[in-house]
Amino acid sequence: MAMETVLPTDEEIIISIRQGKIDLYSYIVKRYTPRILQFISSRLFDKLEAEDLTQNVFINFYKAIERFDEKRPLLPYLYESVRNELKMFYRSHKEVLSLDEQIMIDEQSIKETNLIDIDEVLKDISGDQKKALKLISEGYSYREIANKMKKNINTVRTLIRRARLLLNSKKTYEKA
Amino acid sequence: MKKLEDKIIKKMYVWETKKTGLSLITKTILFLFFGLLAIFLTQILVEVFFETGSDNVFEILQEDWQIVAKHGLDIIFSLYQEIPKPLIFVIFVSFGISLLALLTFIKNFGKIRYKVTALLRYWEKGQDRKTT
Repeated sequence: MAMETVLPTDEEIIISIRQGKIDLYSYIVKRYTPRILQFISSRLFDKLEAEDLTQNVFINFYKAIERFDEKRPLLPYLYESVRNELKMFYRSHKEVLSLDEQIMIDEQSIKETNLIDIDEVLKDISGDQKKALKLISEGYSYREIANKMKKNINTVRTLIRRARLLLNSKKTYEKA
Repeated sequence: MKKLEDKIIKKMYVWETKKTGLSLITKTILFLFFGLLAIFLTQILVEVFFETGSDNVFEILQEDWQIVAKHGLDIIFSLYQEIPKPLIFVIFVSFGISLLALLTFIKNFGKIRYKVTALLRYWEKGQDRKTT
């Protein structure tokens, strides 16, 4: 008759890891990796990225194991961690249209339609907004612009957003 | 899947090795540095004691205990006035830090032992895998 091996529960494993028996972490990894990887793969479709995120989830959990309440079920915690990782992933991979491109597209459309002049558009923009736009078109980050203009980073964000809105509204108005 | 699990476990061990190593090194440095500083400053204090002749107050201890009990408070007070207080303060702080580092190590000794054993076992296994 084959001997049945009783695997330790998550709670027992976590308590043991806190006591220094870190090799038991492999039980948790083996137990949950397939499910977590499958969950991430169903949302990302990129195998390598999915594997990277799975690794992050387990490493982050290991780093937080001292603070983790072992009475809580582990799987929901891991899924929550996956959600956070996915959010960060989407945020870092968000497609951004740089202001340079935006202006280029605008200029092109102006040339094509011959409706408005770029100087005409920029004249409605205040000095600070113009300066911020100029700096961002030169490749400076929001933080660098904030430092250069000696303004809060949020103020710089607002300046640029308002300038863009003004440009867009002007364009729409002229087209209409 | 096995490969991914191995990668996760390896990353975990790398992180744990760094953390445990750093913690051990920090505690050792704290213990040795402040322990040696406390010993060194105590030596200086004793020298100062002998130079100023403050050690004379201890001669009363050779007397009858009734005399010691009668003048005990006076002795302590005069000793308190003569000792270099900043030096005593630094000695106490150094000794405290050194003791704290030692106590933390003793308190977590079981945990550290398990961790170090697990880490050594893992890295030795890794070396074996590389050589075979």
